[in-house]
Amino acid sequence: MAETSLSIAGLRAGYGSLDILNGVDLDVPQGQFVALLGPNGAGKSTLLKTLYGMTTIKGGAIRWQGRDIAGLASREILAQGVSLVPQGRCNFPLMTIDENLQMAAYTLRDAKVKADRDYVYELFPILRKRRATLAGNMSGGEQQLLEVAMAVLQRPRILLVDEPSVGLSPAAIGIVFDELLRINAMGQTILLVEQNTKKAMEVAQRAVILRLGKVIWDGKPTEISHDELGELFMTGRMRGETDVQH
Amino acid sequence: MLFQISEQIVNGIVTGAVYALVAVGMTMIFGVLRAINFAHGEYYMVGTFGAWVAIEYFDLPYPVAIVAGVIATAFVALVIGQFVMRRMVGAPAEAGVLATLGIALILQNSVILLFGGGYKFFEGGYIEPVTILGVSLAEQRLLIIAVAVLVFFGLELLVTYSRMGKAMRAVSQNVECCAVVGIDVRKVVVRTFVLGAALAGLSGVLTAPVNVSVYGGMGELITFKTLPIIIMGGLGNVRGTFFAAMILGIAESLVATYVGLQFRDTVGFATLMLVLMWRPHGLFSAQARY
Repeated sequence: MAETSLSIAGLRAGYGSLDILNGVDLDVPQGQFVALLGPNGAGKSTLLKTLYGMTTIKGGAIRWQGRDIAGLASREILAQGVSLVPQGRCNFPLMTIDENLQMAAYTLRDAKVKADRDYVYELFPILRKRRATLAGNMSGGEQQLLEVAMAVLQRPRILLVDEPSVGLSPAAIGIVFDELLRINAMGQTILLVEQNTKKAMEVAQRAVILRLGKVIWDGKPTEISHDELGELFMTGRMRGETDVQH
Repeated sequence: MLFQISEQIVNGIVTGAVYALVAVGMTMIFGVLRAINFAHGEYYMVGTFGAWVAIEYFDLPYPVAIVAGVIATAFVALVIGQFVMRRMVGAPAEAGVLATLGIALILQNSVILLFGGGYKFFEGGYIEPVTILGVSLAEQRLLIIAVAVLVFFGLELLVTYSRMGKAMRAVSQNVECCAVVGIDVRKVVVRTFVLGAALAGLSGVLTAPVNVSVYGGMGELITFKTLPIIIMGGLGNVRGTFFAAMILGIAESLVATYVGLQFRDTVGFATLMLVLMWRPHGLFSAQARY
């Protein structure tokens, strides 16, 4: 197994006085495609936001490439090579695709930025074709691709993707997941939160199931059936098990 | 008759240019902060006083006083920006209203405490008349129009191509996303605010030789003139603000001449009502914002 790049231990976090995460433990090795699954309110999105410095951390540790990043501001975490593709629309609707991609690399001011942009256009030809279009005038799927592309431009060593399938047509979902698989194949570490469990289980190498702010299952997607997954979501335990600690 | 109309239109364009320079800052600040800056007219007043002090106390020539007035305004705005405006990022709308109204009172009364409450005479500027297309007007008025056109041209370039301008547009379109791509929203807000206030100050310095009298409360009326302008211009829209300011300047000038001077200050909100009945989003749609 590749070396561990992200290591979360006993993480407790939430919004204000409200705790959502109640002691999350999770290690993500470099290059892995991990799907975070779980019922509504399990804390999946909160975990991503916490990794990106957008919540209040109450305890525990987040070690990223040997450095403690818990409590840093989003901009500092971004500078450490962590990028987030948030849930819902996150682009600048009245700017063109090209301008959006420029803004994505706002913190990077070196000569490589332009070359990176050309690379992203190669990766996503649809964006090149529509580079002069206002982002807000594109379809939901295209905007989601744009947002993934924006995150890729930040040269992340880990990509946090929060529910990319929300509001997309099945065809658009297919395209977005294909692209995620493609950049993962090129070595991109991905931590994906997804409600569309079926799709997420197809693409990820590893599934981590969260319930009530804790990891309750961790393994290969092939090791769990769809029914067992449903059972876990509903009750927090596998069939036959009688006692699972929360 | 025809001559008189053209003269009034030219006067209206001058007034419009003055309003435009003030209003553009207010609309840009609204763009990044989603708050109306009720103290905006006070920066117009601070700029005028800065230039007046430079002339009265330091005996500086008017061109130097212009620079002094603008720098003084920018400095005051920087202090207020760092201590007040940056805290308004993400704050509820009431906070912005109360904070900026408070700043307006503080600035007005500070100036009155320092220099007294009476009217002061502004000496300086280019008041020699010139005749253009049969209309005679002071050189200073031509200067105001020229500066306003240059400033708006510069702002278009800034907002379209510069790193700061793009960041300003980004903040006005999606604040949450700015955090995700690493744009420091507070820094953008403070810079936009200082730029907007400095432009209001510039407007004040340029207008002072035409208005002649200078006093602590002179910014108040300007704030309430700019409010309908930025709404008509499509809140946050630089180009729209320019045209809305011109419309208001010309309308005021014509009403003052043909209806009665006493109705002049009602033109702004009356025009605003008519415009909103016809186009509820203002004259210029959000698509053209910034």
